[in-house]
Amino acid sequence: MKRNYISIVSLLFSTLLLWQCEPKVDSFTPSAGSADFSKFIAIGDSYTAGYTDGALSKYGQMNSYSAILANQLTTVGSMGFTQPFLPDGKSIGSAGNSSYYLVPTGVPSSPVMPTTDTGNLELLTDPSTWINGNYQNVGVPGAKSFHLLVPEYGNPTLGQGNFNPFYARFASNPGTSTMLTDAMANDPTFFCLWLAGNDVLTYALSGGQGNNGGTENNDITDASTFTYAINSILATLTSGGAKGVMANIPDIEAIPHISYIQYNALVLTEEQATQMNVAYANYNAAAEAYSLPKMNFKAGNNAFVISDPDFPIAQIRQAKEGEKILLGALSGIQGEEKWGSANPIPVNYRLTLQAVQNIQFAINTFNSILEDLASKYDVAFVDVNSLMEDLKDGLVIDGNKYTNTFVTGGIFSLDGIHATGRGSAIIANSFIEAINAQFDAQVPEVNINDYKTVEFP
Amino acid sequence: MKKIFMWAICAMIGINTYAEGYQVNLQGNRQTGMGHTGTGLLMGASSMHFNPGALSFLNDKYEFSLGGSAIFSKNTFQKQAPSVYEAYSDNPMGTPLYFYGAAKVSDKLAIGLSVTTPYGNSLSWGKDWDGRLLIQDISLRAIFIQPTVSYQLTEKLGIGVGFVAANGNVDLNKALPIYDQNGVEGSVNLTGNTWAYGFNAGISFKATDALTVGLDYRSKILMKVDGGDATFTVPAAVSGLYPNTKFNAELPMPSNLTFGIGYQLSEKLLLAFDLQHVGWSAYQSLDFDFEAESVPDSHNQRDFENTLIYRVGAQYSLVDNFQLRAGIYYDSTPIPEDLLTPETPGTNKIGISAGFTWNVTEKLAVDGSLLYIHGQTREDGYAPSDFYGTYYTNAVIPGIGLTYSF
Repeated sequence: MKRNYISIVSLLFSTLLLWQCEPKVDSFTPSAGSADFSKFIAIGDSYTAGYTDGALSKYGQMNSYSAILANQLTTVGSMGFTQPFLPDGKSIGSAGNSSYYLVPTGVPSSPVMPTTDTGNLELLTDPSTWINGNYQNVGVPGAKSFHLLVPEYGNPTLGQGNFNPFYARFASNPGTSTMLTDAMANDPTFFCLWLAGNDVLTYALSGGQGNNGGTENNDITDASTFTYAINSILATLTSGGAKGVMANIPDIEAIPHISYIQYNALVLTEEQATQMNVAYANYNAAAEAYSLPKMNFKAGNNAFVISDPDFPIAQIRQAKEGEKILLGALSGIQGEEKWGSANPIPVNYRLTLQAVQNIQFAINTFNSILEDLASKYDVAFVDVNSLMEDLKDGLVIDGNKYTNTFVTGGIFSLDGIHATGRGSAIIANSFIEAINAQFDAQVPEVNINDYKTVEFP
Repeated sequence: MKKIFMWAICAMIGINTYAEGYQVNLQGNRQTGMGHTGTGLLMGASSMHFNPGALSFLNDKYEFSLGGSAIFSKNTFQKQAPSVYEAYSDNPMGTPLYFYGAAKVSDKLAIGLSVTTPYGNSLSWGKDWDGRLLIQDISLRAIFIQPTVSYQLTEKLGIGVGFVAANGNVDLNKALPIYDQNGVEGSVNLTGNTWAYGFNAGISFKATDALTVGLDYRSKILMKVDGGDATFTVPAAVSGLYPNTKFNAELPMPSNLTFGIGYQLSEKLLLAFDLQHVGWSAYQSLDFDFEAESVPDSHNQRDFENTLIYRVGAQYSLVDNFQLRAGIYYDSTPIPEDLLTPETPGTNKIGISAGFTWNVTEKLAVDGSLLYIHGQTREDGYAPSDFYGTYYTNAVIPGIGLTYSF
């Protein structure tokens, strides 16, 4: 029997040897490649700042694409990322609102709706709450390209409406410093520059009530100003030998704020359609006399009635395919105002075909300028525009399909413009991909599932 | 010398190794010790699973065999580069069991009953791991109850057939990308139980005193869950859209066609070889059809492919009352490229086994086996969910059983 024991023991021993063969693949090793990430700065607009759910908050600041990117860069030598945080639990949006949140409606088919409260306005209006200093995140909600160069942008002595308090609250020297000088005060070795679209987005969000080529808030920035601004910014950022990454302007027609309400989403019963046709009988008589398009309502989906100052009859007409109704019109459409049916949707809540064309043309122009300048300064280039294109059809990542659907799509927060934490993580990964490709680096991507989408009551 | 030996085995495994879907081939400690061969062997009562045709060659009037194994398996996952993310499964111990009871009714006729667990899966990646939207944990188990009859047509030829009643049970959890206002993620639990039926038929032929060949076919059994329970954990405001509801789904237990040879090389040494064809192509998709209309049905592409398993084993009679066994097998994965899920992270596998039988008395024997399964590292993923990485799998499976015959 002793021999048997020896056999069994040797068998067990052989198995132990096999156990040691447990397969191991070389672990992924982060590396900086040809870039130096030790001092990282981010400069840009609301996306860079961490604006989400219609307001700026510490939660948004900690979950912005720039903060997520900065955190990943700590694995390849970044020494940290300072941010001008808002106090815990406070928030402020550009309309004086707090962060949006969902409340139950009690309607089974549409069980939630976004709502908002009064925000912590003192964080913008009371300089004693300001935290002026040097920060590595120089993201300012509302910033356009040329704003980065002008000290007036943060000058509170100019009076309300003539400066941006989102910058003044943390500018190193309000009225003297610029976003760019504040960024450069960090002696950056690596920068991230993303002006995600205010040069054209403000025009879109105003219903096209600005000039196509100008520097007022609702204007589309003229191409020469845009080129000058971006060129100056890149020349300065790279002047100390820093490398960087920049991104282009997404297709803003795909954001829920613009895409959510279809032009023909006026749903009528047979009876309602008849009433509408009766109500617009005089309009139709005039239209017939001038050989202009008549209003026509039937049971089912109908084009909304919109305001159009250029239209001869009553300055109203039905919307055409390709025209956009802005998300801000939703409560007016659903409420007592009867926008889109008995009353027209006001000009600042819709985009005519001409406005849509202006927007598309501007985005194409700006994006080709951005791509050229990225190449001129050897800056990694992120094609966020393509990412948004993919999103229209649904983008599957790590077990879920993301879309540009309002509230439930996963990428966009409750304002329909800015990203959720998860949307920010997806954007951050596309920045990392571009950095790795350009600088032969191995920056690890983030697990997007670690970041949240919208929260339901 | 040992180092060289170890290196050689590691190198060999490194070239070619993967999984076997959710099949569990542990239906007898004697066979397991020999690389789970047995279709061409005359192994008494336990032949009921491997080849009912061989049951008619039962030596004693009665034979009972009872045993089980303990599966200690490990899965690791390294996310596709560039990523530093790694995950390790915390699998509960799997416990496949078998029972065989057989009686010789006449010289030519034998009957028996077997209870086996030839399919199952027990895998837990944890509630919070990165692939939780695909799967958090899954427990799949099937119990096959098989009354069997076997008849010797001639002194050399035995045939047998068993009717199989199978009970299947599934219990799985996955996360849903819906958050409440405390940031807690939603989830769904799916459980179901069902009965399904099939058969197991075999032929055993004693070509010479030393050589036996066998052929066995175990039919596909389609487990249809009708009215399983789907339990959703979601925020209150959307609970109307995700009510707890019933679901229908089906999962095939694939057919197996096995050809086996047994050869008594010398008085002490028995050799066995099995070639097993598994009809995995029956597993085309995993679809959950939910009763509540607001819950979208779920279609999951699988498109498994048929596989072959090659098995070699040997038994050596050390002394009269003690036999040692050893075996090895190679099992290729049925899971095609880009369809590898974390619920069944299959890969080509090599199994190396050893075993013994100690005849304590004339009637009572103790059977032991030890199987080590080594899965080849597989860098792949599931395209429909865009979840990719490198999976590694291995398992150590000790087993013990008793055989009593009189």
